[in-house]
Amino acid sequence: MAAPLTPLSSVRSTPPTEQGADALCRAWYATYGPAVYRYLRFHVDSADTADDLTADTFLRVLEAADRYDPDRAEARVWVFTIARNALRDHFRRARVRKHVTLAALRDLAVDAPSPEERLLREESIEQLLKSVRRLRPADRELISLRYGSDLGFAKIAALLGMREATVRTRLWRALARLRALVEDES
Amino acid sequence: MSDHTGERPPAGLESIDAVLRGVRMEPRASLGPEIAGRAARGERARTGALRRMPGRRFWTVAGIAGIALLGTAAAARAGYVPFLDAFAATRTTELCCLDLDGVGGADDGVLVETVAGRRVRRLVLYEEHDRDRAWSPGELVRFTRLGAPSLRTPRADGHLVTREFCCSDYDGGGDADDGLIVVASPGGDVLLAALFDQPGFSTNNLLR
Repeated sequence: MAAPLTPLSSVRSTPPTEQGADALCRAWYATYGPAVYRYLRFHVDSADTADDLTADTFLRVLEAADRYDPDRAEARVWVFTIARNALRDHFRRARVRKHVTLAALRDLAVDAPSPEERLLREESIEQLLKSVRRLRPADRELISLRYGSDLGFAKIAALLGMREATVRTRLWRALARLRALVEDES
Repeated sequence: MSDHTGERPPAGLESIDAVLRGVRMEPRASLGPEIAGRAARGERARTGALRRMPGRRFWTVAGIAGIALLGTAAAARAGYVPFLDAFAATRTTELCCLDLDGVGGADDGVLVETVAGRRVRRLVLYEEHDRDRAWSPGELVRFTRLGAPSLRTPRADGHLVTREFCCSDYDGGGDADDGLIVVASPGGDVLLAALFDQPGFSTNNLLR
């Protein structure tokens, strides 16, 4: 999943035909799509919203692909920078427009031996994600990047412009605050 | 724990770390092809919130900026903002012929350039030479000044003579409500020339 995007340079050199855009988008999405989705999903309370934001992220990636400079940032870090911008714009819009959440956890992958166990697991994870969303934005961002994006500490540090040790310290503090929230609610 | 910088979570946080690691949210299988299809159709990403739908704060800031701009433009136009003189309307008036310096009879003229008919930017006293009763390049300049009025040092000792001329439209403001004060040495050396507002020069009436 962390492989470099070698095919993209050749796709990018093709004329901007429908097939070119389609292939380019598929290549970016195949490499980073699920991780971007999971990262966004930690921030938003519905799978539908995460779908929309993922789509928005990759349409932005496609629009900006010509300007991507591998010397300035690794592709994965660049894609997540775009995802973070899409998310920030979403929250600005969401101040005005409220969403109603439907089928909140339809996207949860669970290995459960029975429907009852799945239901219990869904319930506990839903509660956990609600607590994540109650954290302050900086804590939520660290947890989303760590557990949603598949990024290692070094890449999270590059993305946030912090030292790696600082990222770890802040993540563990955020985790402690999350645990306290979960304990309060239970 | 607060300064823990290790790769693994500190004691007490292992279980919540493990639970979070186990949370796997997967996008629906059709999302990738759907996005690719939208890209192929040339669909554009949604742009930033402010660019798409300006909020109340945007319009408030834009309104204040607009009012400030209009106010500054109006003040500059009226000559209230000295550093914006380049944008202000200037007016030039001239009057001829008077005995402004006390020498040679009524052969002097005054040329006044004002900003919007208020602030004097240039004032020139000249002696009418070519008898056209108007300012022209051939005239002899007796006194000239830029900016605020100031009294020059007389070249020789002796009583100074002050003359007031009132009232006329010296500043080009439209009304004949201005006076002209000229301070000169007995030999006709002009040391100060300035405008004042009627009813006459006094300490309460600023020269301009």
